[in-house]
Amino acid sequence: MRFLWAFLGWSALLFGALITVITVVNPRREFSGTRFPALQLNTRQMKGDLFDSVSARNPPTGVIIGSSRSMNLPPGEFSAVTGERFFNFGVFNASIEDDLAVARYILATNHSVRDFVVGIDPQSFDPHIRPPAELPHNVRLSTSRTGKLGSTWNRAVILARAYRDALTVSYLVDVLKSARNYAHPPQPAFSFDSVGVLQYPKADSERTTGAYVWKEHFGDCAAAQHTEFRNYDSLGVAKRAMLDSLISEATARGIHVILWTPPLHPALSAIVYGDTAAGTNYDRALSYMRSLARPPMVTTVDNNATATVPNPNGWYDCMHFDKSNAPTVAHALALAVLASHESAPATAAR
Amino acid sequence: MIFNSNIFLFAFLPVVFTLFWIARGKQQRYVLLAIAGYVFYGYWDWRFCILLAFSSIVSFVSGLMIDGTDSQRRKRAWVIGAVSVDLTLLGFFKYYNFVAANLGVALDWLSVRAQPPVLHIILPIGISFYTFHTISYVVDVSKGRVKATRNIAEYFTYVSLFSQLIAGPIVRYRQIEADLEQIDGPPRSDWIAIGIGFFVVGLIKKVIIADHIGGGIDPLLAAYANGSISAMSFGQAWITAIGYTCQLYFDFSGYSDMAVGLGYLFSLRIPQNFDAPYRSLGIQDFWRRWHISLSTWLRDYLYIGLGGNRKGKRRMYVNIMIVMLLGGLWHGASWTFVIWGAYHGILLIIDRLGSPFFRKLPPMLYRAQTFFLVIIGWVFFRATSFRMAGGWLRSMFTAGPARDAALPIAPMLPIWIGIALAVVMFLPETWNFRFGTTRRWAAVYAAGFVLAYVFMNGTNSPFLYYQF
Repeated sequence: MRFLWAFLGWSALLFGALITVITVVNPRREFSGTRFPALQLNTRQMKGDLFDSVSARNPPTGVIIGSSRSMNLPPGEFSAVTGERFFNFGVFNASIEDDLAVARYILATNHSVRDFVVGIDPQSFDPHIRPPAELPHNVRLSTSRTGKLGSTWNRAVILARAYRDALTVSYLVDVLKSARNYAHPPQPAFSFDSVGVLQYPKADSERTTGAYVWKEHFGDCAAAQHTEFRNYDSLGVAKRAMLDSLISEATARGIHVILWTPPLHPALSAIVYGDTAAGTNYDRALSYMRSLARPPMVTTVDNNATATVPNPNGWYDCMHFDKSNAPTVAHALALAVLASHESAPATAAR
Repeated sequence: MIFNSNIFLFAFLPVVFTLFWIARGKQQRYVLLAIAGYVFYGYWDWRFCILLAFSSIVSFVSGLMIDGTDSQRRKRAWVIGAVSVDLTLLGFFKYYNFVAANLGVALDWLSVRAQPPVLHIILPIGISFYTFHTISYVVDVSKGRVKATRNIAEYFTYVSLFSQLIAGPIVRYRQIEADLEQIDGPPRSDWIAIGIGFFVVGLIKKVIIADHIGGGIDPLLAAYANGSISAMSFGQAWITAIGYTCQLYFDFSGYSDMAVGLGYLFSLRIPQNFDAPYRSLGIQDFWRRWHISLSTWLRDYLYIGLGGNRKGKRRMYVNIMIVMLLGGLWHGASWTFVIWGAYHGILLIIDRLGSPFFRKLPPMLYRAQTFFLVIIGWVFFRATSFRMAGGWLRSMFTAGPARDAALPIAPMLPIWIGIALAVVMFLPETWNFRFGTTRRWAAVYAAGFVLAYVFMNGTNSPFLYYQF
């Protein structure tokens, strides 16, 4: 058996070496290392840290939940209209699982919140869409989602799972890329301000210098979105159940929920509605969203009807509006928040 | 459960291995391995275990009855009974719907309104393999080649041995009887080293080479099969055909190497299944080197049973065709497999008839010709329909569309295929490796294992031969 022990020892040593390198370089910011430049932002981790830090000083009373399409809504616009303190907890590639996890984390840790503004991308009802690996690897959100926040065992299991999933070729390629960037870190594509609003430093700088190829960004984005809208034909039962849970758990705590669909670039809207299958799927999701309205506690906002149609020049691609459009969209949503407060019974409005 | 999965590598195998070497007596080890086999098998669907147990009990009892009688008539009756039960199960689960569908077409053609019902049958994984195990046992007992075991745990261990239960190699009882009898011996460090070596090489073949080639050709072939692309270009047709030739070899021989390696870990020597088949000189040679356990099984239990070459040349050629047609059908209930079998049957006959001429060819040319013919055969084997096989072959032998159809060839695919061909043509077969058994080799095997794991992790693709 000596050979077996030697084999196991060497295997453990090699796995240990890989895990150490992954932890130190940490290209996807899932572990502790910060010395090497990140190849992608772990928005779930960053937003969670930011939220905890803001909550410790001055707990927000309103939270924006959703995907990157909600991530540049300025909380200041909401505060100006409603007088509440807002925080943007939008994360990249948010699924409905993410929305529920974020909402549950907030419900478990923040007792001052009274408004959720939840941006739902219509395609997130597609039953085949699975949340990105960042969610199951995120201790804070993953344990909140299953109602086991604070469990040491769950924390250990999630960490082990994250390391297991990091032992792949693509992850190790990212480690190499990040290590290569050590001496000359590239300009980051994204960053956040202190209340969680997404910034696009790279795209903004390219736009200033005229290097931003709009046509390319729009084309890639529109093709992908069109395919997504076209290829799903049912609203997932489990996805709808998760959204129902989010709404019922929030309203049970007296929290007002504003459900809204982030806008599409008008040209993408034309492409989607120019294709019967894609347009039908899109409308099916929108009408389902509308059916969830239970004023004053649950309000749905049909973005295209209530927000002024965003300026077609103020976009990074086919679905991410920029700073010039953000206040317009945010203002419409803030008005909906205000309206829900004004029409709510005094007990619910606290 | 598949060998290239976390649950197998980090839970099932360590637990079974540890318990096996803790267990001291023969009986304890038999029971443990038998239970492990059923857990392994039941991981797909526990209901399959009932069928496996039934088939095992029938052949075990038949073996005892055959062994216990001197009457040739009774022996014969028990053999026929046991083989019939096995073939009935195999026929029903694997071929019923194929027969029903074809009968339906025939009746329709004859304007008969009645149609045989098509049933919702789930094919129990590995049934083709364990059926051949049990048949070979009963036949061997009846021929006096082995003595029937009276130990049901030992017999269940043989049939349900998890290393070769799902996709072979097809091990005959007599091939591992001696090792089973000595299963209570102490661990042998050199066998454990060889076992780890075989397993790691097999894992590398599967997850690094076969899966990378599969990742390149499978989307293209799937799109062609479902009509998403109407035609393949000349380049696509050849690269998918050669790619599949390599994928199938590395996938199946990788599985076989892992099975052999696992056998060594439990002190059981499982026979060789491949011997550099793509370096064969002629189709007869190919069948001596490809899926050796199947081809020898078909030779010993079917070809010789039909008379082999003892009844004249014409009868021998008929026997070859029957064996190859059934061998093709054994792989799956589809006419494309039958055609593949017939194609190889014809090639075997031509190879025999023309052997005086072929032997005079330069070995390189003969080898290239054999490899070319084998590639053509794999087109039928991989195609899901005649339409697909016909179109694929047409694209291989005509200019076809000038440019690649909608799905382009992944840039890395030709590189992976080049590596695979280089390995196939120039490196020794795993069986011919001299696996180091000293401790310094442990580092080499560990490095290979960690490398393979990094490629495997998150993919866990099943073996191609699991479908048969």
